[in-house]
Amino acid sequence: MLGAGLFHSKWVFAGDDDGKPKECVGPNPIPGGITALAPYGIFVHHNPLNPANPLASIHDPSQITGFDGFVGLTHIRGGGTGTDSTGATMPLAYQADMGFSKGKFIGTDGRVHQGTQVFV
Amino acid sequence: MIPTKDNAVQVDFDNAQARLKVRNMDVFDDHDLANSLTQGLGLPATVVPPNGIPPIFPVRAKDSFDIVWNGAIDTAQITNTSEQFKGTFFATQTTIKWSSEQEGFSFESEPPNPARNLLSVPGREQNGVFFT
Repeated sequence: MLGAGLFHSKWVFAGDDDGKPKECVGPNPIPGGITALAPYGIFVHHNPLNPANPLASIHDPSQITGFDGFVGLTHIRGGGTGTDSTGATMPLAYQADMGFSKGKFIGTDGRVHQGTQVFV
Repeated sequence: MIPTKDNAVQVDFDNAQARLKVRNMDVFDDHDLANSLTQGLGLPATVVPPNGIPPIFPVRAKDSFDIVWNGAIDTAQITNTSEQFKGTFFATQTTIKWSSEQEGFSFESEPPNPARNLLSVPGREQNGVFFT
């Protein structure tokens, strides 16, 4: 399973035309979420989708608050192929819990911003 | 959350379709969820018996992914006062194709397969100060 930096992502724009990230104002996290790795207890401002629950019962699928826009969230499992430095390949499984927020949001500076964020 | 270009996300709300397509996004590969949440500290055996989860230092990686939400299976209008969010949400057929590269290792997912989708939800929402 691949984790992609839940805590050490920087608030910069990825993939700008000049190849250099640019600093910007970030959004605020939703107050809710889950406590992962119980009983160790690490709070994450994210509500994973639970296929056992009906759509009408989902928790806020956004990771940011003060938000008005489009969201997308996934819960997908699958497989693939890993290749190491020798060229040896191996079958691997994954679970993707990813999504996006696109719209306006209240930034950490208290002002309204427009932007697109990816949850990886 | 990682900010990205606006054109990385395309939404056709009326048809319950969306697409998230990103190439070569800089991320950290933390190896597993526990090390992602503990910033590479792992977890002791007292928390995850019998052996715990060993600490693994994160490594830089570049991810590319293409997620397609495609057409409503179900629709819900939600107003949740306790969580302060409201909106219109869809359950959709969804596929993902992704790859990751780092020094000495790469991964390529299988071709997009709707049967792999457990639950995926695009929507239009307001929360927090935009809830009222």
